[in-house]
Amino acid sequence: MKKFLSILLTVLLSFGLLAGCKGDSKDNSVTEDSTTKENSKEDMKGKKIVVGRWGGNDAETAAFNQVVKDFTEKTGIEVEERIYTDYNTEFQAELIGKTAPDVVYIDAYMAPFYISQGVLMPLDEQEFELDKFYEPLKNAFLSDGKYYAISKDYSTLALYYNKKWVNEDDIPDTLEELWNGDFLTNLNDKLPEDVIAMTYNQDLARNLFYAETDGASVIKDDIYSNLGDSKVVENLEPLYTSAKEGKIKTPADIGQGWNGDAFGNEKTAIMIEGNWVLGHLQQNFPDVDFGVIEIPTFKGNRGTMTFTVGYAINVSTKQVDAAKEFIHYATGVEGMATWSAGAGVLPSRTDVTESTKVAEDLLKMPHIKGAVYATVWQKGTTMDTINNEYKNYIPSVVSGERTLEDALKKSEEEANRTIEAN
Amino acid sequence: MKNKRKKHEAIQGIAFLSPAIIVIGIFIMSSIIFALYISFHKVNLFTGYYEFIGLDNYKRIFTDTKTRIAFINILSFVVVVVPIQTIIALIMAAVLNTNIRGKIGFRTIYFLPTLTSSAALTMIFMFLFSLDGPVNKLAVNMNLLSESINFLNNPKFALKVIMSMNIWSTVPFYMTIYLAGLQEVPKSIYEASSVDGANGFQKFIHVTVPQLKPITTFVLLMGIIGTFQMFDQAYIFSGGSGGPENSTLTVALLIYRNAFGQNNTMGFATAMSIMLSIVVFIVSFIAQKLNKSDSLY
Repeated sequence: MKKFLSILLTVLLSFGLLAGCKGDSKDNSVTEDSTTKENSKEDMKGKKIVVGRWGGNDAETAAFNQVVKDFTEKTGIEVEERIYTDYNTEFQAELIGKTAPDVVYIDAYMAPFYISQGVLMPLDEQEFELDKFYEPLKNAFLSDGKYYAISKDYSTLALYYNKKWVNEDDIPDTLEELWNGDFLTNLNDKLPEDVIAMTYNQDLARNLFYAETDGASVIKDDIYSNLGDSKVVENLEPLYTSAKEGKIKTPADIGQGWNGDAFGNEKTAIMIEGNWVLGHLQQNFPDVDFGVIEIPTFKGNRGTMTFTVGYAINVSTKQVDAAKEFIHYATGVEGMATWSAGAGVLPSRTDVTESTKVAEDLLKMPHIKGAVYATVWQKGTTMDTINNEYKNYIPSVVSGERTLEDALKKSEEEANRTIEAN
Repeated sequence: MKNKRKKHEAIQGIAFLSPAIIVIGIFIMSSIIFALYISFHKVNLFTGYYEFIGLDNYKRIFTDTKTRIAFINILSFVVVVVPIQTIIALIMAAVLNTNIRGKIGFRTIYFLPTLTSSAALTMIFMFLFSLDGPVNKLAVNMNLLSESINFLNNPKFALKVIMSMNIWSTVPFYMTIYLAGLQEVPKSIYEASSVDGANGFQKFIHVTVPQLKPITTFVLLMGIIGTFQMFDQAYIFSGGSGGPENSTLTVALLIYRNAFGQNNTMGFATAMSIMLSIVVFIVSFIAQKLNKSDSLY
């Protein structure tokens, strides 16, 4: 009898396990069924959509919650957020497993990849008032004449300097002059021993806009690396000449995680960084007195990088209308104003830029000016490989083991070998 | 009667095992089988595209220069790290097993690195070895170096920094395992060797080491498996690129890069993972044979 009981128990247990899974899927199918037939706005009350995003700082979380709260009050649609810690890996796994959220953040950088996989739903230009958006930002999600995501905010790079050591008027007007002139050398002499004049990054995400000056391109035939091109080499020469001479260093060289920490800890006097660093500096290093200006011109052109993230709809969502309604609100005048004011980010719409008076902020103004002429950090679907090889070989240039041309040629070859094999 | 009972017992056994078998079957076995399946295909999991390409993914492993570099890197990593960490762990355990003062305090302190996350450790080591960091400063001040070395950006040093970090952080874990093993070594053997006139060092070589052989096998296997799969340190160290000059490119990092991000070459990535497990299996087998744990006297 005892034996029989124990068998019964284990069998029951294992069935319980299975039943758990089963019950779950049943729940899903019920909601799916009840939601497929909807049309008018009235029907949307009580609907639920899932919005996938990655976590930012506390201010961003609070601002997002505020947008969601206002949106739910207005439309009656409930929003559940799903936060990614490793966005690309998790989101891709969810897409494959068909459990991806209805609305999701799409990074402009990864947009071409997701668009080419056909996982995003095209969005109507008029419906989302795309004419109100900055050109580079709306075009970041453009493919074959269709828009696949709506930019929610953006960041651009600008030059930050520590007022304790640097006078704004002394900073040269061109990057060539800044890197190769005497300014940094003189500044270095003036600085305490453990402070360097300027930090830089060995990353195409930061270097692309000057690498591509004067019609140069780091990509040829749409997918292949073109880093070894003589024009690209020439454009990158001033930066790496300066780095080789030790005038500028990477944050890692001086034992800092990134520019923001190096600058905040007063280990560097100048950096080129995005506006996300503003909150970091104000929160963690309130004593550092700094100024922000536009990046100096390069070969006579103004330039900077811009990074934007948009809201996109998962093509297999059952909640098309509710999802559109959400994006409509979040990227509309009201939602974007709440979001950008709360999170301290820059609004992608020109009308919101005006209405929130964000441009009056002297620290943000140089970033906003960049929105018009900036290069979007996005280049097809092979940029990962190209940038990886760039990062892989550039250190040897700085250490003097390779010439810049040699290193870029080598990185081009390696990248193209990988791209061809794929 | 007896037969019936046996049958009964078998059913009962299977019933008890079934929850575990079901879970393992779904989450482990089926994924392994699926991985094997897609390693013979060119796949796009987003669109559900599968094209059978036979052994092409496996052939690519042998022709691809990146893959070759990754395998060489990880093999050199294993060859250096595993023996060193095993030997240091054994010696430290033997020392901490004697009656030195404050041994509990030492054990606690030595165990701390294992509790710290490897991501945080990597950041700390990158700070220590940075151009203006403490290691460089110390070496320059002691006149060991004429000028600072850029450990992080120099292909000759990058992997060695990761090796030293790995040894430093894993030794305490294996030391703890050895310490537990030392409790099982019969005191009588030590007493007998004392009578024979053995000194401390001789006891260590002729009693402790052979007695701990089964533990050593375990430590070696765990070490080999752990080091072959090294990913996080290299990823953080190089910002995902495996640089400088491919010096920190590990197999796991290359698999990750092919599976996720913009590459979407899942088939090749799975083929590489299967290749990696075969290599791990072979190396573990050799290590076990070399250690010959069954030759205990």
